[in-house]
Amino acid sequence: MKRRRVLQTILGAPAAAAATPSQAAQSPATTSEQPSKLATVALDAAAEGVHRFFSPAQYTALEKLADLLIPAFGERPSARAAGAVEFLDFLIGESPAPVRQLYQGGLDRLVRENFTQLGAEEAGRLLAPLKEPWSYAGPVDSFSKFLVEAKIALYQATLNSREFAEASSRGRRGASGMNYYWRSLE
Amino acid sequence: MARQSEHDVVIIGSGAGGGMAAHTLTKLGVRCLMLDAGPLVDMDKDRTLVAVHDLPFQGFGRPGRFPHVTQASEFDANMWADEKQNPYSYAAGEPYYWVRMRLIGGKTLRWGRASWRLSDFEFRGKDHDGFGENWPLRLADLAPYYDRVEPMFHVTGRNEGLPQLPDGKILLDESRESLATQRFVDSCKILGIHTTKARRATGSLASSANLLLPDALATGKLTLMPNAVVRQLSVASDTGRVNGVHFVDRRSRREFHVKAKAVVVSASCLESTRILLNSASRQHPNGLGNSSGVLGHYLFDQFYVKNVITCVVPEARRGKGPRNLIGGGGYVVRFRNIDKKEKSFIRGYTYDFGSGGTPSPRQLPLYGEAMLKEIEELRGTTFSMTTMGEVLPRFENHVRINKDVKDAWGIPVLHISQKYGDNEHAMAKDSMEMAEAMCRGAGFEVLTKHSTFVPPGESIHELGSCRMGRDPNTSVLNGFNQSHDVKNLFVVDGSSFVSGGAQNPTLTILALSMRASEYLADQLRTGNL
Repeated sequence: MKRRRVLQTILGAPAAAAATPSQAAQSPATTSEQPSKLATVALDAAAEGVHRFFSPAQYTALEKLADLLIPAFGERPSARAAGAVEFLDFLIGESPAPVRQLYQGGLDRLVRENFTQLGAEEAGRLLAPLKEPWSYAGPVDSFSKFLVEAKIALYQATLNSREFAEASSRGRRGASGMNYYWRSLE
Repeated sequence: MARQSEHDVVIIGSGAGGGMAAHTLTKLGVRCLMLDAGPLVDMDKDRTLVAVHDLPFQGFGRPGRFPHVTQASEFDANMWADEKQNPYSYAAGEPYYWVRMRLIGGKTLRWGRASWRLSDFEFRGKDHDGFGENWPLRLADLAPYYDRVEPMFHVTGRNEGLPQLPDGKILLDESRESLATQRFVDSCKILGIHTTKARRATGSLASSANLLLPDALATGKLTLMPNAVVRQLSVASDTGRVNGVHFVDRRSRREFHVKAKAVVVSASCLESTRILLNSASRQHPNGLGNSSGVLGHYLFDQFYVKNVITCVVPEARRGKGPRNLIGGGGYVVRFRNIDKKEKSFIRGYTYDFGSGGTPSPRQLPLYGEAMLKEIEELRGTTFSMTTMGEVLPRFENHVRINKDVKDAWGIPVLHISQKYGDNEHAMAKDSMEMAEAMCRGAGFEVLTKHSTFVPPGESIHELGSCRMGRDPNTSVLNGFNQSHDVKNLFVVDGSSFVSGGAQNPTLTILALSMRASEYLADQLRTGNL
């Protein structure tokens, strides 16, 4: 996935005004007791996440699922373009065992069904549980439950992505997803 | 160096109850030491604006960090009490969601600020339906204290003159309703149901940390000590009275002790009861002040059915309709078991309602472009309600010490056992049906409805377990939040409640603490302790 290399500072300077790393390195040394406001870059803004949890077949099935569940919409990126698949590979890999098993079991079922090769109509039949009416408890069987959880996670990961924020600001929707982050109080 | 290790009063906890105790006692000239298990927060230095995509877990939070704190987000995760450092237990299949905040100011740093008075339907509940016990005080006893607390917390709302929702000394909210809200209000009227404006403390922060503790410190009578994790209270071997507090430095785990003429415990409902149960001694073998055997019992809270109904205001689809069509919210006043008795349950419930939201994709039986299109069409169109219901205090719902599990400071933890019963289930079902009637009467389209509670504890309105009462054989505290057994011990948080109604409890905790603290100051002055 191509990512725009976005620079930011962690000390409050707006991204557009941040110095590039080479400019920062050329700045004269300060004699102040305070550290300079050094330009930094977010990890995922300048590097690719390493796939390490889902198997290649599971990952490919998740990519196809993402394309069907959260496609590009207007100016907004698709889940895949927003890095949601790669992010879920990380997030689910860090999650408690029941969550990991739910995703792996669901993706294995898609692999068995040759999901990546199916046409729209056949894929739609597999995704039919997503058209069941809402209930508070959610679906009982694990495949349907996987589909619902994957839909929500892919949607939220897309909304919370850097790509979505950039698309939103291009569309003059205003900055979204900003909030106060509480540092460790230790 | 000479250390002042003896104080008139040691207050444990700096939230609503402890903060009000410090505010009241110090103004009356009483020297207080306040212990809190958490650190002092600095709103300028401890937080910073961050975009969600720059968080390490992109807003999802570290998986598994807070299995019981559904309110925690990745933004504020560091504010909530760490569940690994502060464990507790419950029976398999009966989860309890214990939500804690160990910081100076306690949960008042993040409370929803809803500020309702209890009524004599709660204080005299047994008189109405024969269940449980009455409180050892009436609304008339507490009203003068509510009158003083509400202005301190700048409470706004609207007085309705209803016996089940007593009027307050509040700033009147005279804002106009949106058209959708007015339709809902009118629908409720047809059903004979009262609604009112939300009644809540105002200001971006309405906390003990900014409204109570600064004034108390300004008297010069308060010493504030963060990072002090209380292990147990000590008692005099001759009198059995409390004479001090053992505590642990949260950071170094060094042990300390302070002496006190009296102790006010307000560490939050379950934490206060845990401290008393962990303070068992030769004189108090079943826990401090527990000659009745009811300490830890009669635990309850308020059940929540979150989004009992979510509707769409049809005229608002695709952003259409006049500008004042949608927005705002309010409160549905308890209407069950007021004038006539229900067949399937006793007591009652209320609702919060709000409008102008967008449905969750979870609520839509769609995916792909069709779902994204529907979300866009429904953006800002929803009207939703949450039920808050009274939970009956029952002996079998209780906490006890689990000696097999200890927290990060070596202190035995609580085992919590609370289940909802038939009365709560019947009430929740009724609340779903009535919500649908109200919304359909307003012309809204029902998107989703259900009657499933969140788990016990999740409403963060845990109450009881150290209840007040007239009879020392069936209660722990008297009508002034004073231990029946140990006269220089007071407990001033939600653990003292006898019943809770459906009203958010913080305002009542504040009023009870003010009343108890004035009584304590008087007892200290006259030498009765």
